[in-house]
Amino acid sequence: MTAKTRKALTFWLLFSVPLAWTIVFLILPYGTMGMMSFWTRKFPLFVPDFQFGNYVILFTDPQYSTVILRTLKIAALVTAYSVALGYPLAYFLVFTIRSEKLRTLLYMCVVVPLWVSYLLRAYTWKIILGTDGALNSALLWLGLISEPLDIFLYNQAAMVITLTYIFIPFMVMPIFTALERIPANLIEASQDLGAGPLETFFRVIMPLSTAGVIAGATMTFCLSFGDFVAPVLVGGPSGTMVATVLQSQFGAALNWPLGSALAAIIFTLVLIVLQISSKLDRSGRVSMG
Amino acid sequence: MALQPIVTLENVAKAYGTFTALHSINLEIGEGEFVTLLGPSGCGKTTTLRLIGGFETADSGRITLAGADVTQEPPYRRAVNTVFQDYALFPHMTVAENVAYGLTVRAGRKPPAERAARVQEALSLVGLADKAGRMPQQLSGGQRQRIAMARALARQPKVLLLDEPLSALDVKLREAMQVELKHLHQKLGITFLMVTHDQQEALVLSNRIAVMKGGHIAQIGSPSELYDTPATPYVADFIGAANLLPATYLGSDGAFARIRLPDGAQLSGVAIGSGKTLKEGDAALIAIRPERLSIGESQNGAPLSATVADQLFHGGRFQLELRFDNVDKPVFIDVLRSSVAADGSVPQQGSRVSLSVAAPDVMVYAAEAVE
Repeated sequence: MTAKTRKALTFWLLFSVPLAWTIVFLILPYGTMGMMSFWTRKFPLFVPDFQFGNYVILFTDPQYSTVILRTLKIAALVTAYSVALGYPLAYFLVFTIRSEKLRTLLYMCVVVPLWVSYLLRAYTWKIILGTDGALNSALLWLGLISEPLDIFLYNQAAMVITLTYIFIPFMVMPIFTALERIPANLIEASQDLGAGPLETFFRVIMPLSTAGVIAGATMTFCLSFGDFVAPVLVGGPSGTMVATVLQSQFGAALNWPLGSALAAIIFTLVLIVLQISSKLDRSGRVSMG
Repeated sequence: MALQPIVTLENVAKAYGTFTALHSINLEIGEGEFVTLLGPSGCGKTTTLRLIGGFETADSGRITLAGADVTQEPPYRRAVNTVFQDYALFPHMTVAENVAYGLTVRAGRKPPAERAARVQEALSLVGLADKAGRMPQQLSGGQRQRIAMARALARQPKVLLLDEPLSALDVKLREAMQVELKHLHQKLGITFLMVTHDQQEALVLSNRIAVMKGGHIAQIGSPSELYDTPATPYVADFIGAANLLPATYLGSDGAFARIRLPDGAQLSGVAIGSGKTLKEGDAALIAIRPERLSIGESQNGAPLSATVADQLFHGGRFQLELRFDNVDKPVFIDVLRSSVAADGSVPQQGSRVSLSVAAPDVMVYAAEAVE
């Protein structure tokens, strides 16, 4: 074997593994999905075809656009609340807690729930918000209400609360990392140059942690956009999200072509979000060197 | 001191947990002075600077700035600016934005025209007016260092604090920047307070040097005072090079102290500091600068002789490592090449050499307890 062929062989051996991985796990499934979105359903069969009927239904039937818009709204709300709650927490952990041990401990408290079953955590909120739940019991005990209310559960607010609770660690983690990477002497330099704490926050700390916020926002948005457990557990009829519809197309409704088309639309939306996020990220990212 | 004091520290102490960084420091810095705090790491020099900058708060004592008590004031209410050790330039701002930062803060906002003029002026001062639009990451270490200077100077502070400003630069650049720093100080006339562990830098730049040790100021004075009459063997050793040798005090002959080296040779020297309390027969410690020892017979009295242990070539000079009999520590002396005899002979390894030293160049202290 010559050196040249040996080199070529090594190259293909090395290259074939990631190539095979990409084909099997990315190109094949997404290709199949894309292809099937143009098929026709002839109950109970799906016939290979090339027509845009599935997309036309999705764009014209208000039932679908309503769900997509609602999902976008809920995902956006979850993201906004996660930032609003997660940023101060991360800030507190990095800048207020002096003891390294305590900081690690509190940080673990944020991260550890991720190791607990997702279903269990979503279910917790059903118990808290339900008619016989903790919230109602507390209000009854306080005498603020005379009988249990059923307004807490099975609506969009319940879903936003649950999803925020579930996905907030994904917001706190990157913000924490971003804040922790800001050198202490930049904050001192800002104060040295006459900026008070608030001004230092808005002009130095915030701009230097934007990358963390963007990363966190992207994750919480995409994760809550595609969630289908929370809608089932706490969402109720007014809280149906796009993933629930998607699931039913492949399940009960047995309309894989329509489901594939819906999946293609979700896929595109998520890609757009990722694109925007990486663009923002690139313009906001600065090297600390 | 004739100068108007601009910074004063009165009995300032600071501890971090159980570690006492500063034991009751007193320091007075005159307007327009260039003062250096010099010492090894952990001596309290950086803590002192941070207390004046406002980044740490003193446990006790009083700090005044231009006559006002600033002991409890936060950094953003003090008329001092700091050049940080690793520059601390804001990575998300251009060079011009960095320099303008201190002129745009709420407490000290200047109108745009004045701001632009001052940024321009500060950048020209450090010779980087053409780099205004760059990002800090695009600059070299030396350039960043200058931008950090420009940013601090744009605020026109009463005192400029410099925290090891040149330590991150390579040797050649550091020496060039030392000269620039000195010129800048002369040109601006404001007070500079610098922290460094580099005694060469301190000697070159300062009007006065405070040598610190273990949270105390060991000695404060002009570079030549510190070099010529160091108050303690520690200062003698830290400022410049010094050969420290154990000796026995034999008494005073009026102007000079008489001492005996372990090899039996007797010398005259000057008693300094603790050396003035010596009594006959006490253990003493003498310090001699390498350049004050010369090869050749002594004119006044007992001959000193030592064995050449090694010969170190430094380019323009040789350094000879010598051993006195019965002394563990080596003694170094400098031999200029230009002073070597025409045949180029330098005492070889293993040979015996006679040495001479003038009495005023022998500094006599009491032997210190080993720390």
